[in-house]
Amino acid sequence: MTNNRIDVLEKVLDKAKYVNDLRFPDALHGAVVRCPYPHARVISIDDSAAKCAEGVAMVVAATLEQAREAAKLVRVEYEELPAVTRRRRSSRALPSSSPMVTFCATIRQEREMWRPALPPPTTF
Amino acid sequence: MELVSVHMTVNGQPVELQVKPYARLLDVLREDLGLTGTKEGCGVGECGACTVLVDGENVNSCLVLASSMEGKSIQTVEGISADESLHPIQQAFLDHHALQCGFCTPGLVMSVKSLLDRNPNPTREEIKTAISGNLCRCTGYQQVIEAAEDAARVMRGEN
Ligand code: FES
Ligand code: FES
Repeated sequence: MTNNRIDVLEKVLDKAKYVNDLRFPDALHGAVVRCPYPHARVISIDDSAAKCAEGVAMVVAATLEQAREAAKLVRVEYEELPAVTRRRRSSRALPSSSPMVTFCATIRQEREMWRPALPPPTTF
Repeated sequence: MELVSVHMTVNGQPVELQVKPYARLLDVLREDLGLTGTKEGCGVGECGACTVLVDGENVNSCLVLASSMEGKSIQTVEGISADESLHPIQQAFLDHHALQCGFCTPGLVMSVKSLLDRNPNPTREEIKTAISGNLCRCTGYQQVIEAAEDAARVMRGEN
């Protein structure tokens, strides 16, 4: 058997570098503050404590560890919003403001925009 | 912060390191020793991308504190192939198209290695169990299982 893919040998030999494997001298590190809710509105962000953390300038830091620690100090206030967590057979019975209905409407609109390039839409 | 000193063997080489008490084995391998073949997928023991062998047992290096590795022998994916020649498991992964992005591959290779070291003639079910802690998001598992079977045959000296 042969495998002519040009990328596999490097990958199987662990020589392939993924972004997280790259090292740059004097690189600054960032850490992402993630929203703990599937759907929410950000009310306010307080990063004053984070900016006071050691080694931190703005939201980037000298080391990844410092960035992660500082990210924990960022206070974000959220307003939790309803979320779509599964696909329903029919959205007919749902009120028109429900996230599922809005979601489907958005998908349909996007499909319309791209219609000539796409196969016919599937029904949600 | 007080650092902890650890002596361990990594891919046959003795190493002595000063590690933070909370550093994971994964951090030490990737950051201190530059062995980036071992990947961090989830950091919480779900994906197996960080699999290494500790005294022959496959473990998730993201769940192991480096400071607990005193006297242990660690084998990473970098340690299984000498001079860029392919280990039979790597060759089998290549032959069977058992990888796409390849991010899960080092972990899978190590899990298969740990199985074949213990059991040179595993059944398909045993292979499935051995890789059950390794998640692959692109290729799936069929080709990996076939690669493991093939590697086992080659390592037993058949064909
Ligand atoms: S990174 Fe260790 S199990 Fe996912
Ligand atoms: S090949 Fe991409 S995750 Fe397995």
